[in-house]
Amino acid sequence: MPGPGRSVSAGTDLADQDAPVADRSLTEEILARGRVTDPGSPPAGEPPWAGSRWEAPRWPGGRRLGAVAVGVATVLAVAVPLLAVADIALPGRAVLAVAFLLAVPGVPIAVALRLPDGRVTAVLAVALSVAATELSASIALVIDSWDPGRSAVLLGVLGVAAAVPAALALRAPEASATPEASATPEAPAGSDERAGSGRRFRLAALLVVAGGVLFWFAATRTVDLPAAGRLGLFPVLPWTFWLAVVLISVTVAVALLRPAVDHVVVGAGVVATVLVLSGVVNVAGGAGSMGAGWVQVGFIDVISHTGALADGIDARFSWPGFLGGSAQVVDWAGLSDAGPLTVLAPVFFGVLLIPPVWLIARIVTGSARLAWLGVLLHQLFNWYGQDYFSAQATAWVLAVSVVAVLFWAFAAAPAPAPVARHAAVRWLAAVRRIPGRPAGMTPGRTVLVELTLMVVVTAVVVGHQLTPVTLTGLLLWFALTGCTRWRTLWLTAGVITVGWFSYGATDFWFGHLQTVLGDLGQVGDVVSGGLTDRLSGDAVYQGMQGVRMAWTGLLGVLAVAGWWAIRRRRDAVLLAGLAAAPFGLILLQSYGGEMLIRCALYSSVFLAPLAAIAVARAGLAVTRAAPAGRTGVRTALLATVLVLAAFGLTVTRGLNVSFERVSDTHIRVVQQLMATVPDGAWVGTFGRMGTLPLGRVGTVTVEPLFSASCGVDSTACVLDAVGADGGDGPDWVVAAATAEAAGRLQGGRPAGWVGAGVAALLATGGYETVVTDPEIVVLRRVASGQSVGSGTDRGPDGADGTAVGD
Amino acid sequence: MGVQEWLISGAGAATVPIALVLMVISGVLRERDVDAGGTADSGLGRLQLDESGRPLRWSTGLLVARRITVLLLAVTVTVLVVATATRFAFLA
Repeated sequence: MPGPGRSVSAGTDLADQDAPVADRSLTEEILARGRVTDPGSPPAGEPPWAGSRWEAPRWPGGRRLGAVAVGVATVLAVAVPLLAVADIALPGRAVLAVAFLLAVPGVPIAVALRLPDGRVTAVLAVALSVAATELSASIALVIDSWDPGRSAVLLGVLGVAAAVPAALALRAPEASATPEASATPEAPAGSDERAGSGRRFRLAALLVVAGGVLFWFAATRTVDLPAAGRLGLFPVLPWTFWLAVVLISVTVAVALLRPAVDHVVVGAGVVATVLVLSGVVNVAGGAGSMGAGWVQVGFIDVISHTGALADGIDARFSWPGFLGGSAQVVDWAGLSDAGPLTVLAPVFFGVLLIPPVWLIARIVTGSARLAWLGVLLHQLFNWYGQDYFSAQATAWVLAVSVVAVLFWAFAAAPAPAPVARHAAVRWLAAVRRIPGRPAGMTPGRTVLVELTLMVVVTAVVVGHQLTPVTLTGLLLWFALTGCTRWRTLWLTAGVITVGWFSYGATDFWFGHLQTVLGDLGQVGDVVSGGLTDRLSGDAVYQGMQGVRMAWTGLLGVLAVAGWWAIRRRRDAVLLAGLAAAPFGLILLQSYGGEMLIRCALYSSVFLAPLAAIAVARAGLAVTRAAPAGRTGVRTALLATVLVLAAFGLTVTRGLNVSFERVSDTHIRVVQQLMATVPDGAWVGTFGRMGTLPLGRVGTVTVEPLFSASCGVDSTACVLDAVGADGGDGPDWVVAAATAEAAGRLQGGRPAGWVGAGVAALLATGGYETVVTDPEIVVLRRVASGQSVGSGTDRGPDGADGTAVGD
Repeated sequence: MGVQEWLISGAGAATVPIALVLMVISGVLRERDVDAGGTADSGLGRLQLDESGRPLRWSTGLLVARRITVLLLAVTVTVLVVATATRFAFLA
């Protein structure tokens, strides 16, 4: 129950992190009831969203934390531009550049806004910083004035300038009047003992998590990725990986179910979970998996070297936010290219999503404890692999941040109930409603937050083609349900999206709009592209694809069960719409057969918190009959669920590892090849290869040697493509080991089809081997009159002293 | 330059910043008009009255300003949409 002076809505229990001892019983109370309700909910008969008020969450020690963050951001705002302009080689410069990306100028600006909730400040700060970098790069590219050093200086100046009002905001009397900065409450008897026990637990738990990470790292050194086959990653993982999963999961379960949630331990455990499950393939391979990520690396390389967008070469240059922003970071970090950034990209984006997803889950579940569970479920069902180094991953982090801020603003403010007798009229009335301001927000700051969100939305629009459409839909649903005071934010997103598409992304649609819009309304094609078309190739692999779909289906079922428990709450309609809205995208585009995956990905942010409610209710129901000491039973149950879910994610996420992985050897050879081939060269590949042509976009032609429709006899396909003497073929041919797996599992080709194709090429007498490695083979067309030295094994590094192109 | 040429040309892009400015103005006016408690009505059709039941002058002004802003916004967005449709029709 709420304490004296606490204004409202204990049932949504935004206070539980401030009252840790009471949290457990409160959460249990909420969950043990037949349904999770919001005490602020309207009486029966009122619409679900009708007037209730949520208490703004508080952040203990927020002012001190804010001061440290502003201080660090100010130092970064000065140091990184200096390092970038002077090009000083300094160990850790890359880390500083990434920190600059995340903190400048967003941290001081967000703190200066004096939001009453430190967690919202943190979400907005990171989103604004990333958006500022993307927008500064986009503007520089559009006005043809590329200079990453100058951009760093401008952003740094902005950050330093904003540090002044931020410092004033931290010293403002209203800050000390807020609960987090008020006098420390009188410690109850025995609190010292509990605090000591808490500190010992925290230390021990963090050591266990660290131990788990060490076991995981050992696993990345021994895992045999090339041995992965039709079952994907999990059969080749060593026991150390699973030990790491168990250690971390058990620690998280224990910390989560203690009487007082230890947010430091749970947070560390969640970050470790993201690292272990999302980072294993990349860290083991030494390079970012997913060829599509390397396509972005190539585009970024082009911008870094030319200072311009490669118009007319690839339509993706029409959305320069991520590409330009990354090129700036590469320059600030003193890197030669963006390749190193790909390795930890899934972990980076996974961690960046934690705060906004937590905030959403906190409001949806009404409990900090369940919010963490929601974050975990969001991660544990994220098999889609769309968090590689890409524009979409960045844009999605920004979009979720915007949605999280809107969620908070609605949850923390009063919202008058639409008054009407009939439900339909009440729904219409809700559209006209304007919720109040969150407690502690002035009119001026409310407009400034709106402006800040507009900046972030703009960065989403210029960064990726699909995410802005999704975001516009989500914001529109907020407006239609009367759940946001910023009622025109969806229009902002829509206007900028249409404007950019019409005038900025002309490369994308000039001359072939029919192709772009060809999928409009073709729901059947989109669904078949996302479902049935994926069920092809190897029979076992098809079955595993079914497992993937079932994994997403399980999240959906859990979410529906969770939503049912809160169906009478005022935000139930809002939530249902937000979870469903992304699926509206199937009306627009097939997105290369991947639209359904994107829909599920976008929806999972809202499904996971709802699923957390269902999981918690089921757990309580199962353990209710347990004898005394049921906390131990619940902990064991939760740990088991987390380990099983981690296994499920490893199976589903790691399914394509045999052909999506990229090794450092592969990258080294490709880089050497691209540094060697002359302009205008033609490179043929077995299957599609995203790692080519890296930074040679527009100067080197790369295309598959033959199409997938050629048939399964690769020898015949090769001879058809290059001619009997190889004279019609490309100048170079690259065959990666991953192409073999892709053709076998997805294309139904026989084992050894790439080897047979390579042998057929050599047999024509028109090609010679330049590189032979289990990971990659490179052939070169023999010049007229030159002798053929087939089978020459020079090794991937030109071990005999001969470079690839010699 | 005729209307069609204007719509096809890049000049229509100017509608985007104009719309954004109008939306900011709309937000400022909204914060001036709608108090911290929110309203069940969007505020575009109501007036604050004084004790004698007459509309307050500032309230009337605010109402007119909000309506003009919304009207201009609607016109701007319409121009953007028409221009985009025209560009699609002639350049796609």
